Amino acid sequence: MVIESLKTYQLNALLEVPKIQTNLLWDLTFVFSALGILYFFFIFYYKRRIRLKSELIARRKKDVAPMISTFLFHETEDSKEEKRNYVELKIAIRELLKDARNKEVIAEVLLDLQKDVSGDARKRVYRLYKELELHLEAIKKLDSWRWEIVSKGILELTQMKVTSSYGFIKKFINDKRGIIRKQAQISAVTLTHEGINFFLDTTRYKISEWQQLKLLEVLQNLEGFIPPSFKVWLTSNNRDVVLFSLRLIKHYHQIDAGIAMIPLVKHKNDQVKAEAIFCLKEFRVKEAKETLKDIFSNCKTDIKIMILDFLAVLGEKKDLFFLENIEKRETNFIVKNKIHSVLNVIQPGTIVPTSEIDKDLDKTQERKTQIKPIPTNTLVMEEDNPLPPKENIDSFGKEQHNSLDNILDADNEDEEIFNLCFKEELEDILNELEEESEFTAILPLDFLPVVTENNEFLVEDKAPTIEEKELDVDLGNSLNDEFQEVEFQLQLEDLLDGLKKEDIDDVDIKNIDVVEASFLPLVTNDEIEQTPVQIDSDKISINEIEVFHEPVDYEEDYFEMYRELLKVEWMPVEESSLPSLDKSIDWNGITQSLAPVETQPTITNNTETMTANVKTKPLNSLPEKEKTMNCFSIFAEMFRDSDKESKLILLDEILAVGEEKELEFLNIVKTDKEKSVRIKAEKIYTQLAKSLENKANEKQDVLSHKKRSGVEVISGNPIVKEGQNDAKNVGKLSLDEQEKALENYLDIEFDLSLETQEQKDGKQHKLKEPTEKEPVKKEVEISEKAGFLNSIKKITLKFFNTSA
Amino acid sequence: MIKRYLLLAEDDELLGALLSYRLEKAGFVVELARNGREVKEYLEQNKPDVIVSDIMMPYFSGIELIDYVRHHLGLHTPMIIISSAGNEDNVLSAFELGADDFIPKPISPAELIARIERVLCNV
Repeated sequence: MVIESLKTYQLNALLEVPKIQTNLLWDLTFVFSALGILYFFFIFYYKRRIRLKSELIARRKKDVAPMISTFLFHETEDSKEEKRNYVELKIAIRELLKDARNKEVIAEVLLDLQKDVSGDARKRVYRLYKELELHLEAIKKLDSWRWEIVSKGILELTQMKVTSSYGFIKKFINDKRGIIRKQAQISAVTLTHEGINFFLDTTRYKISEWQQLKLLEVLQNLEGFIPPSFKVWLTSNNRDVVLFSLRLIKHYHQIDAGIAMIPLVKHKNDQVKAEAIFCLKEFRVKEAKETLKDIFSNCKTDIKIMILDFLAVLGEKKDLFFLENIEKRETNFIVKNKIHSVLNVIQPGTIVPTSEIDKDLDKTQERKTQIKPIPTNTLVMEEDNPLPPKENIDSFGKEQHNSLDNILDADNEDEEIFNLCFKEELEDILNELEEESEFTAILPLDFLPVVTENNEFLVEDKAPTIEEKELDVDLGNSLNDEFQEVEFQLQLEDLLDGLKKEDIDDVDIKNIDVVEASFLPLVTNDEIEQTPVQIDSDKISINEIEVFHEPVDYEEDYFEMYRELLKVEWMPVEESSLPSLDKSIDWNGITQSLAPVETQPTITNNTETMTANVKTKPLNSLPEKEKTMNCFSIFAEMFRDSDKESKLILLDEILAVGEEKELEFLNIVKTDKEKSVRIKAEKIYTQLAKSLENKANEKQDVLSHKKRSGVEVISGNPIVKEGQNDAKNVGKLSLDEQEKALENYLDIEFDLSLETQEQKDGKQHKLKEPTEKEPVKKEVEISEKAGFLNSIKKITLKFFNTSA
Repeated sequence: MIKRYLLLAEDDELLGALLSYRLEKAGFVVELARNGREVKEYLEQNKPDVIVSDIMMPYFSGIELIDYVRHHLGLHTPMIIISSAGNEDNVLSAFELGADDFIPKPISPAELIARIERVLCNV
């Protein structure tokens, strides 16, 4: 390797510098020096020549200028001396014009002059130019093969307004050389009014934007120019001619071309399309509207915007449908915004701002509107009784509600509500119950708040005697609560069913409203038989859930009882529960049983009125306000702030835990904006209706089975012991017996046991008093289950709503 | 007939000659100056009845000429300014400095004479 590399170096070393002859070098030096000198010589020569020429021209211009001035301003009225000078100058100029250079000089002078002067002086220049036949020289230039000379000739002829040269110039309109072509186009248009027609008819080449502007400027400066109807060229094969014609139509406001422009909105070229739409908008061509609507979807954004601009100007209300349709389909943000603005232009207020709007304000308004349906009984109570301080309502009701809304999530809301609100309270209550074993007849449901307080107020308002109170409690409450107790029983059964299935079962809040009074002191046989306890009237409070029995005057008591009955505001009850209710209470029997006892006519009348009211007043004919209560559903509130997916999930939940009131709510949901929600609501409605029907059938089967086996009936109705509470038999008894019968009748017992349905089926149903600790314990166990929690939640929410 | 002396300051020889010829024909004794120096020299020795000056001139612009005449020489000779179109700033400056009238290019010689006559009448 090393040897090879050395060889290489050796070879390089053998290279020698070529020998150049010195003489040759010197020769080359002389040659290039001579060329340099020659180059500079020519430069100086031509520079001097040009300078001399310009000096000569300037000198000649100086000489010619006064001559031209004399020629320009010569008048026939001049003096003889001036006329003689004019003739001499004329002869001199003729001599000068024999020389081509002089012609050039004079032409240049005249061209310069026509730039600096105006008015009559300029016209004289034009005239002189033609008189001196300088235009012939310019026309000769048009035959030159050199483009710059041809261009110069065209320019000269155009500037000096040589109209006779139009025929020579127009043939350059379609010249291959761009500069000559453009100059010829401007020249043709400038020289004659027909030039523009010829140009638009014959031009085959593209017309640049700049050229169009120049031509437009020329046309503007043409004196006495009457523009032709440019719509003729809208059908040209040259796209630029069409475009230029559109611009000319727009410039000269040729409204008659409006209809001819309509087909151009379908032109392939967007520039032509845009220009046509703009013209149509400017000329208010309504006929183009439908065509524009047709092409809208296939257009680009710019064209769409232009079409929308057109519709903003010429749109009518009948176009709103089209705009709304395209608004739904359009994905481009700009176009969509434009559609909104057009909609609002055509019909102000169609689109209102939605983004960055404070939704809390809307929610507040919604809440305000939702507060309207307040239960009738509550309203009556509120009217009769003083409300608790507002501050308490606000602080407890609203804030608590809001906090719940904030905290709750869909999965654990039952537990959370319970933990937040009731766990401690329930524990306290249960502890108290354990300690106070003497209050065994009281259900552990007295934490339900509203009705007890109201009743208390009622008692206080009337300021009754102790006797009245007792009767009030005994008769008034029991009669008043007949219906409510039935509902309570129903609810209890539902609760038990729910627990049995270990499912979250909604308790009918409406029914609970009815029940609210039903867990007040329950009058049992034992209690009635007990010796009445004398109590200080001041200490009487229904909140304390105690029952006091005292002997009373029947007349007054019955009067009070009737009065209370007449005041009854029947709670809205679901239709499904109506038949059983009607069957369970024999209103005729009550009237008849009371009739022999009552001697005073007013009381008798009242009794009749009451029974008639109760009988004839169908519960489904409740006022609208009450009806709205019927469709109250906890899902309604959730639905309000939910999106589409949440709604669908909630619908599933309705199917799982829904009751009959949810059916009504589902009816409302069927009209939801979202199609999928509507469809699902219908499905859920059908399924829920079926499941509820099945449940009802099961209940009826159980009841019929029990009836057949001679067991006391518990069907959600007051339990009337056979032979004891038979109201029909009351009238046939003696006064004492009647009294007893009435007491027995009013002594409606409830099955408060928490046995399951299976247990019920297996055992004979006896009225079980909640004095035993077993049910209480059971309740504690059960209360931790979801169904019970859910019930509590409902009650709480109902309470909040009522308070609010 | 009273001779009215007119100083025409115009650097364009052709236009100057044309206007000069036309003004002379209208009865003015015209002195044509090609640049600012010539104007200065003439004004140091003569007092024309009216001065017609182009704004754009070598050595001495029309604006400077007005300032020179009004503030340096203290003359109240009527002055008419010739300017090309689109030179509004200069025209306004000229009026602020004391120009009596303005005529745009291209000039109509007849119009120029009419303006001169009017300016002279006001004096």
